[in-house]
Amino acid sequence: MFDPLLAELSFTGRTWELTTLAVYLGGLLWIGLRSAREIHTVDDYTVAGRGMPWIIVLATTAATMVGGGASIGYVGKCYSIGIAAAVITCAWHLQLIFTGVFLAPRLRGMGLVTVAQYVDRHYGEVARRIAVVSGAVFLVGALVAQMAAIGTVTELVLGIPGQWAVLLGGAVVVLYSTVGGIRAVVKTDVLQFVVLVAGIGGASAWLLWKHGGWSGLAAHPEVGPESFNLTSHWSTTRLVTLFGAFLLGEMMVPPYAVRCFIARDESAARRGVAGGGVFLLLFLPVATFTLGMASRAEPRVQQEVQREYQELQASNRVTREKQLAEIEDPAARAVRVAEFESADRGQAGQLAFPVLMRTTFPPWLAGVMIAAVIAAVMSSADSCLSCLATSVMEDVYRVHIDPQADDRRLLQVARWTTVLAGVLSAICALIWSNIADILEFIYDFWAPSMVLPFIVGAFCYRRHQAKAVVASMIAGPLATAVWRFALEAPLDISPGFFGAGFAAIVYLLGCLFLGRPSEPVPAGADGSDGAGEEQS
Amino acid sequence: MIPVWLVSILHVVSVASAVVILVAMGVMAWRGWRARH
Repeated sequence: MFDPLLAELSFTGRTWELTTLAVYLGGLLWIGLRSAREIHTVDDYTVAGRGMPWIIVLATTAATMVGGGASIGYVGKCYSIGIAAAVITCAWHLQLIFTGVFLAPRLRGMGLVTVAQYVDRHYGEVARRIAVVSGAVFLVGALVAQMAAIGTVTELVLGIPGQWAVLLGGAVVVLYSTVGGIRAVVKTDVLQFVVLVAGIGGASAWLLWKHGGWSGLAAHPEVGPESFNLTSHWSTTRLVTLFGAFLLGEMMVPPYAVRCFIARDESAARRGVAGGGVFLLLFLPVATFTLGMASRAEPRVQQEVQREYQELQASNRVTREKQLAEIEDPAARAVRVAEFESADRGQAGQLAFPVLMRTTFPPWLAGVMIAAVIAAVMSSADSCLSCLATSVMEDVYRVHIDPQADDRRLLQVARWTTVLAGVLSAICALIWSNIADILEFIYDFWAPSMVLPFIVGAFCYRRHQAKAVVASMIAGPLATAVWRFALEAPLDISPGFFGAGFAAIVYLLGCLFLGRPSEPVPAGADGSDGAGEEQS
Repeated sequence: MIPVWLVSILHVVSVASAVVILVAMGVMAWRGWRARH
């Protein structure tokens, strides 16, 4: 299996790339294993002793935000459709700013460990159980997707067989996450953040200089003015609902919530999380757009992407012809053909970034850039793993199995959960490798169930509204499922966006018809977002 | 349509923000190291 790989090792560039990656993985392991010396209590393992300064919170938040999709995926999207792809990613960063300014200080002040605990304090046991299930679905899905992404990205970038990459990369992530908990995750995130920012920022600056600035790049015949079209080929409805889905899809997901919990104080939580959003908003969309356009201007990248596109079309032809034969309406068939072409172009576009690195940079620098891409994926995987272990330990074991468990026992549970979740997710990643589908699924279901409880809790919490919130947490995902699976997302409205809107309507109706009205509790009156006072 | 000059300015801001954040992290790491030794 490794013969072709070994044969290529004679090429200096290849050796450089693999050496850089090996050094990088070794560095991650070293940092992660050293962190184990600082783990003495459950708080050290799950919330890093709540002692992180704001700049570390910023770095770990940003590293978690930028996964394989936001880096290699969106460079490919910008390559395919232009600036519209970069514009919709701004929603992710705006969401982080909102979270940092309005929610992070409250969450830090409440002294929580998991998202479900926040929901429990505000809305009770049923809501807590829904939150635990929603969180578990999100984390398992995201973990499998990121494990699969480790394999896909490494195979795409380095030509190493995907299965081996999943096992090797997964083993490194599982090892340092198991031993060092969130402390190891945060420290490795900081390294990953530095590599990522230096790699992507340096590459975009260098490539722009090479093409004579933006005026030179925009004048290139392969770039053209249509690349600067704000909506590209999307309808306005599609653009707005995609933006909305991106804005809500990751709001307060457990990996970001933990970044609020680990901060030294409320101020560090606000500055770290919101600062991460501001930095990414300034830095990432333009950098990915620059890399996408520079890829268009490189003939070698064009050739490689076109070759990949043709190979994908050839490999999918038989299956798709069967699917198309089942569609009788010619208009519907034409729409499906266009969807297939768009999917293939999108998948082929993912080659743009790695090929661009190879054609533009000397081998050692290309190796750093490639490590940056793999860093992006691994930093997202380790966060999901750590959050899943914390949730099992705090929300399941401590609540339902052994409320009197001591720190030693809880640490054992967290570590074993990390190992088992890591191994199982790697196995799942070998079976289900369609990253985009998995991510789309989990984002569609997170927002409809979990965003509204956070927003209500932060801005307009009243105890009698708890039933309305619980009703919305149940109705939102159900509406998403109907919109997505039964109706197949008509009118260009994404299922997550529809489900979140439906949840909001159910909540408003619930406020009118469920429970009794009462005066609002001043938020933060007891340092716990108003919830504690009403429950006491 | 987004004007090219605006993208050009945004790119300068993008690279500058990357430099600022990396320098800030370097300074804080240096201070932390000095405090420990």
